[in-house]
Amino acid sequence: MLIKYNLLIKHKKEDKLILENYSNALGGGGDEKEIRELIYKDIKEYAKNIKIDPLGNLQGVQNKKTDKFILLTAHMDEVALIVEKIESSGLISFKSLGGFVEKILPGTNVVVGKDKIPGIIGLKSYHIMSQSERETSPTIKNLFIDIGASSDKEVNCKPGDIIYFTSKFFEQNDCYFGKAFDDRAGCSAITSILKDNEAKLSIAFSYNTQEEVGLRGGAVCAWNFENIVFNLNLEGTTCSDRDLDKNYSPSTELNKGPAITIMDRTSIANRKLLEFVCDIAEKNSIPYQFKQTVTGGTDAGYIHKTKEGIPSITLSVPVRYIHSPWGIISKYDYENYIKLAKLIVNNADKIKL
Amino acid sequence: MNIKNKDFIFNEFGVSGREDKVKEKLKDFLKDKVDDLFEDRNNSLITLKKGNKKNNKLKIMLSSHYDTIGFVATYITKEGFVRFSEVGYLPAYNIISKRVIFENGTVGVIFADENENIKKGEKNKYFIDIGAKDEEEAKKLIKIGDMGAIYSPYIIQNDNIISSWLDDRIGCFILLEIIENLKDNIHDIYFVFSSQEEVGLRGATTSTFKIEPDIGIAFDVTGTDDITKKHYYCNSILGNGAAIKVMDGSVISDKRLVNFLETLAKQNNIKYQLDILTYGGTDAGAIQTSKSGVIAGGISIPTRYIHSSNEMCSLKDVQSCIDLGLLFCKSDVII
Amino acid sequence: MKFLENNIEKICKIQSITGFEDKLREEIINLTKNNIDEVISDKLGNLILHKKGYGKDKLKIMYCAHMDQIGLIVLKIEENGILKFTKIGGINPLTLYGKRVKFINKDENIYGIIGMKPPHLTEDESKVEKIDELFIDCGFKSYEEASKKIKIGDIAILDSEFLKLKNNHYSYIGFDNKAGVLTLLSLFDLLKDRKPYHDVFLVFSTQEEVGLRGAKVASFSIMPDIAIVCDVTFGDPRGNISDVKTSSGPVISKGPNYYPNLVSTIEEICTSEDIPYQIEIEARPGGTDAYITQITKSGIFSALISIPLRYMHTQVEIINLKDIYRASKIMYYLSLKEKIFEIEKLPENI
Repeated sequence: MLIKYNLLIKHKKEDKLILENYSNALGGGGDEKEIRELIYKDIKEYAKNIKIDPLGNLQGVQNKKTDKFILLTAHMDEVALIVEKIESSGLISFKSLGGFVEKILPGTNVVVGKDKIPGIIGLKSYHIMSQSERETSPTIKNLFIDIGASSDKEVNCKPGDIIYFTSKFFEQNDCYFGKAFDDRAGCSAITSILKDNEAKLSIAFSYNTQEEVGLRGGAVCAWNFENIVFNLNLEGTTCSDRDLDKNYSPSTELNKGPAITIMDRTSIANRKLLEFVCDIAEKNSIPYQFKQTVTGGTDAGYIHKTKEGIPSITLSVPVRYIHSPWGIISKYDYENYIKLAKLIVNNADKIKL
Repeated sequence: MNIKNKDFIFNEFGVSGREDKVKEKLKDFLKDKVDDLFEDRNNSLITLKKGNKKNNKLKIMLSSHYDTIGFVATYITKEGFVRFSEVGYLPAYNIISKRVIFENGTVGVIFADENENIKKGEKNKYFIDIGAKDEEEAKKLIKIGDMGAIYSPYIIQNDNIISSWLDDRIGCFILLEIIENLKDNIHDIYFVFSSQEEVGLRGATTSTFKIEPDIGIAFDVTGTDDITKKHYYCNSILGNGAAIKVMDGSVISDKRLVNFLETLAKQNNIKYQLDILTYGGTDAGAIQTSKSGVIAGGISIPTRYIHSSNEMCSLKDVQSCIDLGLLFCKSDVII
Repeated sequence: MKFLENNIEKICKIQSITGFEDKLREEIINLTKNNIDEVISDKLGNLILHKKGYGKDKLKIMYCAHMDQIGLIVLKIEENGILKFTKIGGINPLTLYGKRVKFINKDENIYGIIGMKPPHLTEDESKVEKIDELFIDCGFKSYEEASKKIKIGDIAILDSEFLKLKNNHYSYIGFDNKAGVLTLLSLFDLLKDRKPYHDVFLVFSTQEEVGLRGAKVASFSIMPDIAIVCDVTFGDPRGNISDVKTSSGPVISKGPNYYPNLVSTIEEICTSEDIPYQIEIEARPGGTDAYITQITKSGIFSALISIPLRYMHTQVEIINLKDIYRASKIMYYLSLKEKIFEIEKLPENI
C-alpha cells in the first residue's frame, strides 16, 4: 500500500510538472512547433508511428493486444495574436487568433515572433483621455503593440508573426494560475495517460492544431485512424462561478470536479458514452459535473461526423477566465480530471456501442 | 395512404441526438418490409430495398430526418423549475405556455420569470414547470441532460394534418408509404432516416458517407408563402402539390434531377410546384458534397408554421409526394 | 500578356452563374483541349484539366479557381406579370436599384428592369429596400403572359459594360472570379508547349459563391499534395481594410489556413523572378476554396494567391490584367520547380 501511495504522489507531482511546462510553452493557430516538440519529447518512448499530419497534428498509437482503438484528442494551440502590419511609427497592429473579449488586452505583456521579442499592448494615459474615451471599450482596431522602436526600420518582426502572452505558471491556495489551460490541460492529460495506463484497448492519439481558429486540426485528425471504438476529447472549458446568479444556469464551477459536455454548438454527446462515463465516475467516487451551457465548439464537432461517424464525448477541466492571459483551475479538479480520464481509458474495452 | 398503421411516427419521441425511441419503433415496423436494415455510427437508420437490374445498377438514396427540434435541461432551480437550452432552432415567441413532453414521459409547461423576458425573447430566463414543489422533488423527475420537445397529438381535418412534428416526421411517413408500396424496383433504393439534421445535417453526412449513393433525394418540409401578407422568402403554396426543390440555403439541386422529376410528374398527372427556399437547409446539402459528389435534389412538403407547436400541411400534397417518390423509385433513372 | 489580352473579353462575357456554368466549361475545354492530357467533368460540374509532369519526384499540384459568379433567380411570378426574385450568392441590394437585367438561360433575349419609384413619389429616399421588396418588370401584363416566357428558377444577371481603362485596368461584372479563371488559363498558355516538372491539375470549381461546394468534392477526388487557390481580394482605393492595391501585384496570404513553408517558397519565387507582390494576413480561415481544401480528408497543404479587385460583387468590378499575368507566372515557376518545400518533421535529436 505504501508503495502504491508513494507512486500516486510521484504521479501527481509529475502531472503538475507536465501541466506547468505545457502551460508556459508557446503555440498558437498554425504555429504550434514549440509545444509540439515539447510533447514529442515527453511521449516518444511511450508510443509508436508518431508523425505530423498536413495540419501539424501530432499523432501516434500505443498498441495493446487488440487492433481496436480508443482515440484521445486535445488541442495544442492557445488563443494568441498575429502581426498584421508594421506602422511607420514602429508600432505593430495585430489581429486575434481565437475569440477574445478585447478589453483584456490593454496593459498586457507579450512576446512577438520566433525570437520572442518582448513588447507591450499600451493604452492611452487616463489623464489625456476624453470623457467618451474613458467610457468606450477598446477594440483590436485601435490597439497596438509597442516593442520600443521609434520607426519601422528598427522593427525586426514581420506581418504573420505570432504574438503570445507571457504569464508564467504558479500554484496558490490549491489552485493553479497560468495561461493556456485551454487546452494544455487536455494535452497533459493525454501525456499522463500514455505514460501510465492499464488500457486493454489500444490507444490512438492526436494532439491537434488550430482549434481556436475553427477546429481545423480536429476536422482532419480522425481520418488516418481505423477501428476507433470511441473518441475521448480532453478540453478546458468555461467556468462562470464568480458571477453566479443563483437561478440561472452556470456553465461549470471550480472544485466540483471535471465537467462532462452533454451538448455544445458542434456536437451532442453519444448517450451510451455519457452513461458509461458517469457510471465510471460514480463507481470510483470521482466528483463530476455537467457543462450546463450549450455554447462553444470543440474538435469533437468534426470527429463525431468523420466518415461513418465516431461516438465522441468531451471531458473538460473548468477554467476560470478562459481565453485571457491568466486562467485559474483547481488542483483537485485537475487531479480528478486526469484520474477520470485514465479510468475511462482503462475501462474502454467494456463499453458496447 | 394508411396513416393509422404507422401513426407512431407523429407521436413517438425523438429529439436530435436522442432518437432511440422512434428508432426502435421504426426498426420494428420495417424489419419484414426491407431487404436490409443497419445503422451508421451516428444514430441514423438505413434500410435497403434491393433492385433487380443485372448490370450498372445505381445506388439511390431517399432521406428524411427523424429527429425533431426540442430542449435540453441544463439546470434545476431552487423552486423546482427546469432551465433549458434549445436543440435546433426555436423562435422565442413560439414557445411560451406550450406543453413539453420529456423523453421519460414527464410533462411540463414553458413560461418565463417576467413578462419583460417574454417581450424581449430572453430564452435564458424561460423555464419548464413540471409541477414539482422544489429542487429536490424536481430532480426525482428530471436530470440535467434530459431532453424534451413541444408536443401535441396529430389531428386530421379538411384533408390537412396538424402536428408538432411534421418537420420532418411527415417526410419519414412518406418514406414508409413508399417502402410499403414499392415492388420490382430496378435500382438499389436506400431509405435513410437520418439523425441530427436540425443541428447541422450531421446524420446525413455520416450515412451518405457509408452508403456512397449515385443519386440522393431529401424529403423534408418547405416553407409556404400563402398566409395574409406575402414575405417572398419562399414560394410554395399549400395544396399546389409536391414541391420539387430547385434551391434552398444548403443546396442548388442538380438540374438534370429537377428536370427528370418534373417530366415524371407532368407525364403522370401528379400535381407539383417548383420550390425555392431563401434560407434553411436540408439533408440534400450534406448528400450533394459527400466524397466525390452526388447528384442531389429534394421533394418537399409545403408546410405552414414550421418550427411552431402546430405545423400544418395538406394530405393531398403528401399523396403527391408519395406518388412522385414511388414513380421515381420504379423508374430506370437515366441522368 | 498577349494571350490574356486576346481572350479576356470573350471569357468575361460568358455568363457563368452558380449552377449554370456549362457555357464557360465548354469554352475552356475548347481553348485548352489540344494541350491537355486529360479532361474530367464531375458530378457537381467541376472542370478538371490534367497536365502530366515529367519529374522523378513529382508532386500533384491542384490550382483551383471557382468559375461561378453571383446572380438572381426567379422566385415567383405575380398575378400582374411582375417577377419576384432572390439572390444566388452575396448580391448587395444596393447594386440593384433601377438597373436592367438579362435572363441568361433563354433562347431569346429577355430583359427586365428592377423598378424604383421616381423622387416625386418617394417619401423616404434614404430607405434601403431589401431583395424581397424588389421585383423585375419585363413589361408582361399578366401571369399568363409571363409564364409563357419565364419559369420559377430562371436566372438573370445585371447589365454591365466591358471597359478597358487606363494602365491595364479592366471593368466588368464577374471579375470575381473570372480573374481566377483567367489566371489559370494564362498558366495553361505558359505551359502550353512544355511539360511541367509536377503533375498539374487545373480545377475550375463550381458553386463557390454558395458554400465552396465544388471545391469540396474536387479536392476529395484529386487529393493533391498541394492546393493553390486563386481568387480575388479587396483592392479598393478607399475604405479598404488592408493596404492591398490593384496593379501592385498578386496578393499572397499568410495565416493558419496556409502552410508556411509553401507560402515562403511562393515568396522566394517572386523575389528571384522579380515579380511584385503584396501580403495579406488572415487570422481566420477565410471565405475562399482554400478553406475547404485545407481540411479535405487528412489535410492538404494549401496556399492562396489573390488578384486585387475593386468594388467586389458589383457590376463594375475592376482588376488589373498585369496582376493576373503575374499570378500565373508564379504558378508557372512553381510547376517547374523541382523541390518545392520541406514538410515539417519531428526532430531527430530530442
